[in-house]
Amino acid sequence: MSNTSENPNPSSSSAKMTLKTSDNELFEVEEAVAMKFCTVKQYFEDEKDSDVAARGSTTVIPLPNVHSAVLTMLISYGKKLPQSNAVADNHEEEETKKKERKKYEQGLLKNLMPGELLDLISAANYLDFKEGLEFFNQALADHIQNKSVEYVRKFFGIKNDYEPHEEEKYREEYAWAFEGIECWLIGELKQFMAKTKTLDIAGTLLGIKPALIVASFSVRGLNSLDSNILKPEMIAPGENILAAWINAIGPTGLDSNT
Amino acid sequence: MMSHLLVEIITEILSQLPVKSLLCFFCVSKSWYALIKHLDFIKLHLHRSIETNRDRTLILEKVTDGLPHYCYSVHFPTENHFDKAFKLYQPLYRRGKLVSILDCCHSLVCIHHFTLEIHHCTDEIAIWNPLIQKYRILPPEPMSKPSGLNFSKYNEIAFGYDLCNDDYKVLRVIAFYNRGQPLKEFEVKVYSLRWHSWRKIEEQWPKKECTVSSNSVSLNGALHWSIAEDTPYDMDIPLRAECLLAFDLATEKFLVFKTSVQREVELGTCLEVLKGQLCFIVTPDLGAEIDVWLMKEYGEASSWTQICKIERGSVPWTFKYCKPLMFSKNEKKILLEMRRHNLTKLVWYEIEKNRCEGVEIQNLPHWFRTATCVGSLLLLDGDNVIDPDKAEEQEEEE
Repeated sequence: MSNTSENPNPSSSSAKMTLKTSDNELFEVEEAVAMKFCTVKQYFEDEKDSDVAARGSTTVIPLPNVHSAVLTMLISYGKKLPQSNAVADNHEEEETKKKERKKYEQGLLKNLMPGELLDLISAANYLDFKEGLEFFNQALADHIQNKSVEYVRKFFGIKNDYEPHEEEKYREEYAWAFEGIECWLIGELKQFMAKTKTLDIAGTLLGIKPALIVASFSVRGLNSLDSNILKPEMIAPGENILAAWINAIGPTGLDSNT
Repeated sequence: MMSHLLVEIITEILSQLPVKSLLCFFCVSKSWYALIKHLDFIKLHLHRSIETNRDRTLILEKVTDGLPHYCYSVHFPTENHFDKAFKLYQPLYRRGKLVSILDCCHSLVCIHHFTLEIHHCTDEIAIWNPLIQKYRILPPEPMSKPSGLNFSKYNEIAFGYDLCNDDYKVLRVIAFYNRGQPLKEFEVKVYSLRWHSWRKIEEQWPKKECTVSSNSVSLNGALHWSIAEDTPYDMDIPLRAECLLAFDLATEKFLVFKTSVQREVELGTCLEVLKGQLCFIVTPDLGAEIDVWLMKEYGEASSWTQICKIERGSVPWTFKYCKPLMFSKNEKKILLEMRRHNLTKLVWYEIEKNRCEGVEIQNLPHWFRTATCVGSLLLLDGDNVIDPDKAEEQEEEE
């Protein structure tokens, strides 16, 4: 699927660039929008030949850290921003455009999964897309504003390194600040997991330190069919697994399922 | 789902959060605690707060029988939305004692416990962050009374932000005199929050006889007052205020600059900072208009522009004193505090249309003075403000 951008104003520069995402999708993007991604801009400025129009549509810029779904959203956000090469609008037109943008932003955030926000932020940071980064950072700040500490930990994947009594003492001291915080529910956790996950084969990794430790409850060895095989053929992480399930019910219907 | 966001991104996101959330997120992990507590982050967060007016709160000092009692806070995230007023215990609260707000600077409030005895200056001053309920009491600083002068009085206390040194300071000027005679000697001392200590300043309160005719405000790293130079007393000529006195907190020098607006000193003059510019409002007696002047270019006497004339007729109640609090975002309206005996009202006044709209806030006291502040985590290492009623409840339970 390649995304061809529409050109609403045929008389303006229609130089396009091709961007290639981590999943090998190609995107044709108008120069004005692509230049908002400073990483892309840098790519061209580094080249001696600055004739973008001639080279733009032929060169493919690789973006190995950005997935196509994420790039689609970033590009459509970029299009809504005031274009640097656009003719200066009068005050009224500017106001209308601002309102349109606000409406678009609200719509965008409504349909966004919180987990996707993190991906958008990482990508915007990699692309050095300042306006996008600012917008999504603010959106994320607004999202976590009233959330509980547990939610924030899970969301960012942060381990709690406090002793229980230390945390307790702190919560007592600032009890008034903790009033009115939303409680983290299982429902919320399910809500922010992205809808699909893809597994990538990383290949053989050598030299990882420290070596991964097998959990105490996991099976370690002696293959049951052939006792000459000492080690298990496949080993996978056994804690904090994201498993696929249908609808909202886990395999055994218990809330305690991970 | 990414589990490793760069520290810079997390810092950015956290700096956009209100103070309450940050206090909770201290608990997330030790590294977040260290990040949030770091002075650089606190400064970044304060800077964002000032830019975006986040956690903007009105601090109201309830007035009863002319004497200030305790405070209320009203959080208002946007112009049209004012939260309910919450009772706020300020740190120097002691039953039966009077505490008043001197000034608010960014996120800190300077409060002052004063006694009514004129001869005996045993005042307590504290700097308080009302949004996180932390404070620091200034160390008591004796005054050195010169021999031969028997009386002393507080001439001026002011609170402001020193831009150059990134410090909050309190200025104290005490005047010494003999009964029936004009003020003779002045002692000027400055307290620095960063160093938590007082210092005597050699610079003298301007020798020219002058009367301070307004409150003090802090802007551009200096404290400002509206003053009138004393002229020989003549019943027929009202005292005119012509100048602004400024004290630069960095260089610790007094400067006087003229204003091109003359007005009579007996009239209530209120100095404020609106959109980063000095503003004063002159409230003449009942019947006349109220002029609002703005100094468009700092330091330039000719840049005083009259931006608004508030007609008393356009306001459906009588008031004696009027103080501007802030502009609306589109600068077409000003939020005013209008006060008279036993009643204060907050009003949005539309400049061009000369129309006013009362602000409805729940749980508001009848009579109060207002100050505005934004949110920050300054003074996190200060003392906790203890709510005396809650403390009593806990004692009863135990």
